[in-house]
Amino acid sequence: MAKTKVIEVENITKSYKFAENTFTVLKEISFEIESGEFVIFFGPSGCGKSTLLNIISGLEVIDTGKVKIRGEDISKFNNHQMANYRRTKIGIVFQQFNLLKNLTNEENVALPLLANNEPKVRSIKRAQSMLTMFGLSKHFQKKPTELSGGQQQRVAMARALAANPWIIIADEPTGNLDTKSANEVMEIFNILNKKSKRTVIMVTHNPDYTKFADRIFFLRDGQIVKEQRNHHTESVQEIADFKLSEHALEG
Amino acid sequence: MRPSQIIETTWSNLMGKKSRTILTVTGIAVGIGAIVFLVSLGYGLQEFSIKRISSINSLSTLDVSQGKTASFKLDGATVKKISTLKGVASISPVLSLGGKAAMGTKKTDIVATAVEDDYFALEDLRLFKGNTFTDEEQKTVISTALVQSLGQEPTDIINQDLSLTVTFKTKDKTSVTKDLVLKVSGIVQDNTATFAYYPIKLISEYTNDDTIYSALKVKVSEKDNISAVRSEIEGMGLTVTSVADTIAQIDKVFGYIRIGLVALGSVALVVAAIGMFNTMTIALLERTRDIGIMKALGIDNSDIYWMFLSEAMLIAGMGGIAGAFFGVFLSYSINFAINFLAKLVGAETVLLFSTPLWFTLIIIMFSLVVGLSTGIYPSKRAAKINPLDALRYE
Repeated sequence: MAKTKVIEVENITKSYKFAENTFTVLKEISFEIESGEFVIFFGPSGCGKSTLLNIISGLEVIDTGKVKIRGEDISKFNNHQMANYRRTKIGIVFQQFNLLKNLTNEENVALPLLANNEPKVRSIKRAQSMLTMFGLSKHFQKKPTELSGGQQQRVAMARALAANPWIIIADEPTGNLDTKSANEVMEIFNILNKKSKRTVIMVTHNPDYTKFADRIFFLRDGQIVKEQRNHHTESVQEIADFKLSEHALEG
Repeated sequence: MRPSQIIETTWSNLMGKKSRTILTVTGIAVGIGAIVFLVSLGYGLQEFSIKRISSINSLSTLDVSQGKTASFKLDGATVKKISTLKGVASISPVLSLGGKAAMGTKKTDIVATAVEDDYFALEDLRLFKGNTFTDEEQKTVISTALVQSLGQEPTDIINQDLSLTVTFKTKDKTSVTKDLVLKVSGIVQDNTATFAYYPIKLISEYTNDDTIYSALKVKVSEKDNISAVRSEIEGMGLTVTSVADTIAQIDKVFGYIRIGLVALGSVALVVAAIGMFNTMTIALLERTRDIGIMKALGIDNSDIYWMFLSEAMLIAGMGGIAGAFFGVFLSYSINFAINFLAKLVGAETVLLFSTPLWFTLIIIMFSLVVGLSTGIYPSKRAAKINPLDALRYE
């Protein structure tokens, strides 16, 4: 049975102007991502992969082309529709974690729900259950700065998943982590994809992580130069069977 | 985002920078407090002045006198006509005549004014010593100037007999004199004119419909009727004055004084408002990255706008309430200190400050307007920030 197309990117171009010079970051890129796929954009710094993610996230405006999410052209969204899209349809995980320092961890995770007019008690309860799932049950009331980098990234992941979005967008989520924490985070992404059937779109320049993806797009100079499909065997199944336990992740 | 959540987030933002919040709130409080203090002084002085010249009775009383081109004379018939006007509660005629007063060997010319016993209340005439009289009593109230002319001391003259000779002119222009012996019941403070008040009933055999009175005190039943009654009497060609005229003048003068005081206090408020604008701009710069994060997470631009605006409004509201309390507290503290000193030297206590409740509420509203006006620009800027630029902001 054919899978549903979640994201359709058609001939998008993006350029920036600096003084008199124009730099084209993305050149007529087209691809489709299906529901439940784990896609990685891989390439060197400055190849345009983060810009591409920002465009899919609705944070960046394209010059030409179309970005359709479940058939809807997001470039036609007004501010309110765009906010609603980011709030409910996608969950973003950043390299810098981007947690609000003056809020507690549970308040950070509850933020997308509160932004969606959910009652505070219900939002906090959901945030606590998300943090427990990510092995952070002892850190509800702490501020993000009291946690390690790996733990902060798990809070950010819990936040990205709080509103139960279809798509997880992650921009170099392991970029600021040590190897152990980075591996843990990648395993969580894999579980989210394989067990919860969420579409994961990730940007990385670490070749070790490409093994998790169903498809890898190789970018260079703003263009997709290669597309590779992974055929997972037992090794991936092993990862998928990994159980997210408090013991394994407790920080 | 729910409004309660916006307020909660705003509050936690404010508490995150406690000392800055306290300083900004204090700035607004000082500005608002200065206005409340100065305006309270303006109102207090105004009320103090009005109280000195009038009472509730005198505010609803009209003074009627003969007009220059009167078609109506102030005679008994006119008195009867005015008493039938709608809204008139009572009329007290006044008949001032030339006369002589004598006590012992001393004798002096005076103005002898025959009045009804309610005249003192209607005129709001306060006695320096003693009491007024009733219509039936053989008593008189005299001026301190008369006491001196008679070679007496105010403390001794009360209850002493005063011989009063009053001269009337009858209808056929002949002069008639009437001798009265009256007990001095009270003294009015007036060191320039020698005069005496006595009950008009004592000369009732000389007053009739033809008597031309010097003046009339017309008391209206309701204060609101005063202008209607006034215009009817003026329509008769008579001259009407009222304490309300003087009060209107005082109100006008103090109105200008208050504007001056508000302008003075506003200087402090303008400085505070600039401080608040500065605080909001700094808050915007400090939280630029947070705004980017919130926008990336899907928080609406309008929610960001309201977060900033409610922050400005909360600061202004707290400053307004604190300032109103501060202004009132300072006013009453100074008043208390003045009265304490006044009591020490045996002087009369006064109320120099008055803060109307409506003014307190308006000034709090005004501080919210200041919050609104200083908060709108940073709030709009916050709402318009590009999320990606904000995320890159360090």
